[in-house]
Amino acid sequence: MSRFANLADKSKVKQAREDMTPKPFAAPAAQLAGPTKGQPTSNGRAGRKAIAAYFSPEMSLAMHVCARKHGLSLQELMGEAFDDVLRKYGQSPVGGRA
Amino acid sequence: MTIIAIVSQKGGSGKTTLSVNLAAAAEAAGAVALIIDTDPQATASQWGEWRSDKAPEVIDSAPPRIQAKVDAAKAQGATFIVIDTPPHADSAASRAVEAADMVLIPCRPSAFDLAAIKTTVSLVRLFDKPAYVVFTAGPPQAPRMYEEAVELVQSFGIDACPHILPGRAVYRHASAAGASVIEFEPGGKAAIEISTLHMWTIAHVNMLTAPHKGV
Repeated sequence: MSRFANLADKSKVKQAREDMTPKPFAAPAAQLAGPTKGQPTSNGRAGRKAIAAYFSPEMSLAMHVCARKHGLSLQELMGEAFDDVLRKYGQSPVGGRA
Repeated sequence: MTIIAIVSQKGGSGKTTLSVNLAAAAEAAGAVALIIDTDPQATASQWGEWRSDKAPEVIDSAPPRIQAKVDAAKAQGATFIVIDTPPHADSAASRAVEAADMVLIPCRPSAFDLAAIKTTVSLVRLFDKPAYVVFTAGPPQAPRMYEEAVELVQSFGIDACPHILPGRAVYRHASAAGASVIEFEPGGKAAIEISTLHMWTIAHVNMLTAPHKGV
């Protein structure tokens, strides 16, 4: 008798390990079709490149908190930051949030 | 309704052990308790599976859904929610802190572990939430050492919870059996300690959230 099973992300009947794929990336068909209007665009990976870098835990925390406070995803915040730095160095912004 | 976030950027500090046992203490005290497991390693969920979802129940949650799940659980009758978070996870930790009435930061009373809580302290400060360090897995009798640890914690601008959870083998035995220490060894030292911590938590949250008259 489970009171809160309906609130779980993963069905409790299945094995918990069955679906370890992060949800936003679990629909390749939707990704190939590209982002559609009204849907968040920040999680689509198709046709994109990853830019990775290592920072201190304080930097990571500050970025996450800043994103959260402004209702943005970390990706959107980073896109905005990259555009700002491009402007700073006299280059055209790419449109980081797009 | 009490919502407690268990947060520590350091691994192995006893977050999940504290989460499941605190929720079990609440359940034993008559609350409808729920554990929200935001750790991708799903340790708390594993514990829930081992005990065949006997109360307190464990549900998983991706960080962005924490608040919605808290609201839904509240509507379904939950009165005490513990949010367990993974180490090194700023997204889950910040969402959990945001949703919580109070934050507990489990920490071993050792220099390395104490130094590592600074990041966690800055997180709870950003959200302006009441937070306390709970010393875990240390020796049961070492008053001088705990005094020093408390002083160090206070130098970071945060208080330590007056109740400690010393390392006791019963935590391992209970977890392996899919039980809480209260179920595994009722009346044992660990059971008394976690029950005391639960009562302190409830009293503290009630005091913090009580409406202030004449303000």
